[in-house]
Amino acid sequence: MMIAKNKSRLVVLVLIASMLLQAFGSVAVYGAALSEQEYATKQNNSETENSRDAMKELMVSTAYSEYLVLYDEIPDAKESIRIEAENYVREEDAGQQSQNAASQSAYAEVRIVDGMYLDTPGSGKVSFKFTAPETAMYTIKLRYLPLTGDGGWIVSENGANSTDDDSHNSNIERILLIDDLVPFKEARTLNFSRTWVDDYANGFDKDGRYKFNRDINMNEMRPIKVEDPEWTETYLYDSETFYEDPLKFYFEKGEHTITLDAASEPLRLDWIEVGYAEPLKSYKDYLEEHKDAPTPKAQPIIVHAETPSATSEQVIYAMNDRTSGITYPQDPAQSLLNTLGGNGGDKWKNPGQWVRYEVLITESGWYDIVPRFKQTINQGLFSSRAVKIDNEYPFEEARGLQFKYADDWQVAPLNDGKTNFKFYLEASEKPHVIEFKAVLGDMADLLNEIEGIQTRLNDYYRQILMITGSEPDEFTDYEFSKLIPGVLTGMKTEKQNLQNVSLRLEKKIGTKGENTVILDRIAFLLGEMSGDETKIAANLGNFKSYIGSLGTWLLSTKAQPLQLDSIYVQPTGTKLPKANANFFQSMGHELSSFAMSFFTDYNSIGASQKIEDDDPNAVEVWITTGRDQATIMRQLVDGSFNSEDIAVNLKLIAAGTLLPATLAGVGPDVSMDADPNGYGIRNAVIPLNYFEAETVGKINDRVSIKNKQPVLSYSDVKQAYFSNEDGQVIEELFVPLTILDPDRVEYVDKDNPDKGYKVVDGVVRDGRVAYGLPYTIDFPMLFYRKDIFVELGLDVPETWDQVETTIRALSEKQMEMGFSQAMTQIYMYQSGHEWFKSARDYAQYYPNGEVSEREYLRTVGIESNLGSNGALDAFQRMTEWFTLYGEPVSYDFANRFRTGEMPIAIANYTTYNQLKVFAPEIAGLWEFVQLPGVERTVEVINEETGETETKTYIDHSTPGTPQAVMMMKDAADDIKDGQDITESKKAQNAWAFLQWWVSTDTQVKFGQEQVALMGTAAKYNTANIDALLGQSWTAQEKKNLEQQFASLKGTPMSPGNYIVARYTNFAFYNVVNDGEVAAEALRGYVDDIDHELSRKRAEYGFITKEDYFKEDRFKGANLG
Amino acid sequence: MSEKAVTKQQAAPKLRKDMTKWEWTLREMKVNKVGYVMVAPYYIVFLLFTVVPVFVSLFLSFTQFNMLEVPQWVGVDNYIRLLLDDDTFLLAVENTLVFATMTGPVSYLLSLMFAWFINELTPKIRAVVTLIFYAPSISGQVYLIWQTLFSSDQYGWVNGTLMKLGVINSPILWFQDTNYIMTLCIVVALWTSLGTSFLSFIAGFQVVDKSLYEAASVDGVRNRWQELWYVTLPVMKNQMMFGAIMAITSSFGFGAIVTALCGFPSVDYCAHTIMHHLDDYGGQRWEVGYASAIATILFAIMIGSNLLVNKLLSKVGK
Repeated sequence: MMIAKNKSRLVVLVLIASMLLQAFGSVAVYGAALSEQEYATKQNNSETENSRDAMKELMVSTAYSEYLVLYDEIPDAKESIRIEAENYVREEDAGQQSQNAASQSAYAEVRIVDGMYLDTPGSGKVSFKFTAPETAMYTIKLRYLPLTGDGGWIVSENGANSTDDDSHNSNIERILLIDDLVPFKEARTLNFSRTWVDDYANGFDKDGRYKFNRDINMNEMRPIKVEDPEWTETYLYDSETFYEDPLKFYFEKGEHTITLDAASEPLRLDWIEVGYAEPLKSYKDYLEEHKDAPTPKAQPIIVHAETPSATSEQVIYAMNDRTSGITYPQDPAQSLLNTLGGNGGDKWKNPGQWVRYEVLITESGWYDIVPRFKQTINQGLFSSRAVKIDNEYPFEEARGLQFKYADDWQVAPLNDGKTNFKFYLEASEKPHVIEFKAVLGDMADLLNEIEGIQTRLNDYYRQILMITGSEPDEFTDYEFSKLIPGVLTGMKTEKQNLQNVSLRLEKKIGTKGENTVILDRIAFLLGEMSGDETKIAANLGNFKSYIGSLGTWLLSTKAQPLQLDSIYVQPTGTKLPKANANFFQSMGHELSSFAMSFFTDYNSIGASQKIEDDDPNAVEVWITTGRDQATIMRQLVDGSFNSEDIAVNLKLIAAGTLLPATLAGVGPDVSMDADPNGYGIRNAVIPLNYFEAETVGKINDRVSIKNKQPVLSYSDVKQAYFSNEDGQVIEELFVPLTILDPDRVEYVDKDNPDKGYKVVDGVVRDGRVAYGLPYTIDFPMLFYRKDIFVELGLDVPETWDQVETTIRALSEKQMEMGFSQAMTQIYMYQSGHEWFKSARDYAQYYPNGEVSEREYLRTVGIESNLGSNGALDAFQRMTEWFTLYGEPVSYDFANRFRTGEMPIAIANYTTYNQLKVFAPEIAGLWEFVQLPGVERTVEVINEETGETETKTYIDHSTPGTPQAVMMMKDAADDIKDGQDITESKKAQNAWAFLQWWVSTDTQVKFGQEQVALMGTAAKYNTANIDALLGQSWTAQEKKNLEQQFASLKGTPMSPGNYIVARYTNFAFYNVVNDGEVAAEALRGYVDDIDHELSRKRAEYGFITKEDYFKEDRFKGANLG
Repeated sequence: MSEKAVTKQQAAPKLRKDMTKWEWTLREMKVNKVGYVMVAPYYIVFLLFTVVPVFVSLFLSFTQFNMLEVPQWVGVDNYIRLLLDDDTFLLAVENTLVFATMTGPVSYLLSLMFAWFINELTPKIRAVVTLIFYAPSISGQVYLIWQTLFSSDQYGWVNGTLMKLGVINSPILWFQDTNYIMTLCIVVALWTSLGTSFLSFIAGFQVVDKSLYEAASVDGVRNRWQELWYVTLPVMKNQMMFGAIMAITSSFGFGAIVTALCGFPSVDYCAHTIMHHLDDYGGQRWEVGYASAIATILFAIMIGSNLLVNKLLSKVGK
């Protein structure tokens, strides 16, 4: 008995001690005890899946070129061996093979189809056994079918579709492992292309031109691209096309496993063939082979480039070109889709993207293939394309066709810069398929070498940085030759390499110029630095910026832009068509365009049906985003809005127009971009609480419903589109969009608010007034460089305490971490403190210490919570990162992240898109994870024993910034006096639009269209979690994103809330600049903040702090 | 009866002194109606979009108006609060006066001196130098290069250079540090304000009749200063007036540049001007009544300083 007592006392002591040890109250005890289940939901956030070992394995840095040198002596294979996909290695058999369990990502849940194909999901591994007959270099060829996104492909045991493994029509990517190791870094990103076809439903006119759909202004609208999966046989190639030949892999004689680890998207496999590739014949042999072929007398065949038979990606679509009067077809008023590839070729520039055309040949013989093209982006260089005819390269040289730079349209037979090629085409029933694939072509080896140099220079820079820091002292002797002799010799070698490359580049493009100057400059600098090590410190800044500009140069030079108007397939020797309009044609074109510009309505964006101006119930929607987004929305409304009876009038408006327009009474019915509360407390917005079952019933009775999708009520919308996996509504998304509006709520007894309230308009059900539906959301996450963390042997921090350790380790190596200034709020939320004070902070004055939800809503925002100890602690901790640890306040995240100087940073997750585009050289070397959190303890009720236990979990909460759509008061201007707002037909229609817009279907489609229009890096940050996760994230990204999403916390709305952030910011700068004591600096502003809050609350009839304290319950209380 | 007829005959040419002012104005308007028709387009626009708003704003300054709901009459509450209970406003007035002095009189005198010096150059060089001095104010947002120069990033030009020289150890947050904001803004203000007034001075120097200088030297002017004071400046009084008004109006409106450089609001309001205060209440807090009160006071200050300038300029050459 005694011992037990002592024991428990000991436990208590230890607990107290451990709590005290935690710095600055980062341990906060949760008020009420949780059930185990609740605890579990909090707990499951804190697992890290990727162990360091697993990462290390993937971080191979051997380049393929080095790999080839390594196996220089090894002969190519002489026979091919086919492995049928269904003979994959079952998981149970694989057990013994992989000892290193930690390094294994899970085996994929595959299934065999028709007894001969193997479906593999978008994540996990599939392995195959292969016995090499002899030691040799083998190519790998496989036959695959991309699986499309319509409906889940994989059927789990209970027969339900598993949405997790659905295809998202994005890049199919695999990692190849041989005997559980990635052989070289190119094998880490193997791409398998898809096939997209336009839906040419309207047929072609007699000129062979497709009859595009037209909008009301007769502008052509691009057809919908649909995926048309086809069985493809392909060797494994380098996805960046640095190497033209199929990749070769070294196999020793004996048994091996070949593993495909899915990075994204499912795939159906037929077989894998390990063997050799036939060499291509040369152009000379090709000519020889068909030397007897005649020159046909056929008329030139004109292929309209805007209507390809297939493309590899959605982004390559028909566009309008007005730069030339003779681009066919051209119209001064209408926008006709007459070219492919974007403006100057900006949509069709990534190596690997291909486009196919069909040409019917009626007379066999030699033909010239002559495109009319434009390449205005790669100055002084050329774009490259590889041409396949009927899925085969006709000759070796066809893999490096050049398209020169010029600032106007050009016409030239396909050529490699030296020879114009002619092609032997046979007459056939079936049209020939000509494929143009963007490749690096002649530049490949040069660029490859430069990329290698860039990687090594980056590495050298980091190594120097680890010794000197980013601001080295040029008079200090750092003893580089002792510490990093490798870097010095390395720099010498790279200097030589760069000079060589520069000379070769000069030879290739014919001139010395802007393209070689950057290489020469770096070579010179490297010479300086490696020649005299005392100059290293002084030149480090230059070195860094040169590496940066080298990266930028590489990025733009790797792009292979090309825009096509038409392709002429004509008998060899026929006169070339005209490239550009003559003077009179140009003048005619320009003049008529100018004249027509007075009559064109640029505002009605791509509407396919006329909006009747006199339709009193048409919903007017204002958008302030880009034109592209507006066009997508228009098409979505036309295509999938669930009622034809409701007209939607979209208008693209300059930002800032809403306020004056609303003031003048000519505002929209629905605004896509505004601050719902700013307008809400001023009674300019219709609360969405009106649209509950009763009202929605009226809508559904009145209008016809398409696709069996009835209009949902507000509560149903929340449930259907904004709930988590457990079916609980994510209320935090709505917190910033909800307020208790005193004008709409009356107390039963004014002097005694606790007695409850009555509802005035019959709308407010729980004291909350909802002013908007969220449709996008942004929140911070933690970005880090995997390679650097692996190199330094660091773990990704999960708590702020661990961040301290990380920072110490990083600063030893002179690296830094990027922090955001929103950290005070993050930290407050994570340790359980609110942004505003409310009745809950005065719970002791309430009966039983209980504060009702309604009372909370009534009082939230009376004071800011910044004066509380929790907030002061949070603020102090936040400023310490900058003052004590010296992390930078102002920095260019993307750039420092790319060089590795800042290998970890807190940034909004939408930065993802930027990094994808801006820093392709570190693709796959970084990821985002949950924010570091605060360890908190909770009391958990053990379900079996019923006792409470103390457990800990990590709170990763973060504020999120939603963008909302709201319904303006004007929407209900069709009702008569005394009528309820719910009677308004227009408001009902507007609600139908609102709930349609935030629906999962619409958001998914919008995201897809945005990707189709702007490329895979344009991910859409929708607030609909299903639509968000439904995009093409990798499994890991998806998981991290989902976890952070679950930790979102909304900041409640109170009039005057802008002042809190403003003054916190002031206090922050006072601390950082003048070294003021954090707590004092912040406390100095608290009175001003509360004063402003009271003033604003009074202005809009909300209860103020002063009035609140006058209430009876505080009688005799001593309120500081 | 007959008496009436007689008076009618006699009254044929009515004289100015027989008419009320109103009648006279009407008559004159009828006579010069073509002129009125010609100025009408401008005056209608001017009235609708400048004069009327001024009065509306004056009215609104006595109300509480949140932009979306009907204004409520609050009397002089706004003014009381503004003048007696708004520390930030007083700070804004102070800053505005500092900026106004710097971009007004100081830059005005600088413009004058520069113009005078440049005028001494040969025409070709003069054209080039004029362009150099005038360039900052024609190329709209060029002041943003100051942001690049004084970037808070440790790799910003100034920060980078200073750190390299060992003057500082960690980057200075130039436009977020209360110790530097004001000074930097004044420098930028001076740099951009050599604008219209400078150009009008250059033009003014060109119109001075050379014979006046000869006459003056006969009359006993002994040096270039006297020449400037007694001949040049009195002749170009109109240009000076124009320059002064431009300088003053722009000096009070000097807000956009501060916002672009330091963000809105500047840290601790340390470069907050009346314009910013107006923006803050009008644009951010949507308190248009209060903002109108601020605008009214700004308007009064501007009128006052224009009158003052008028007075001062009348002293030139005396």
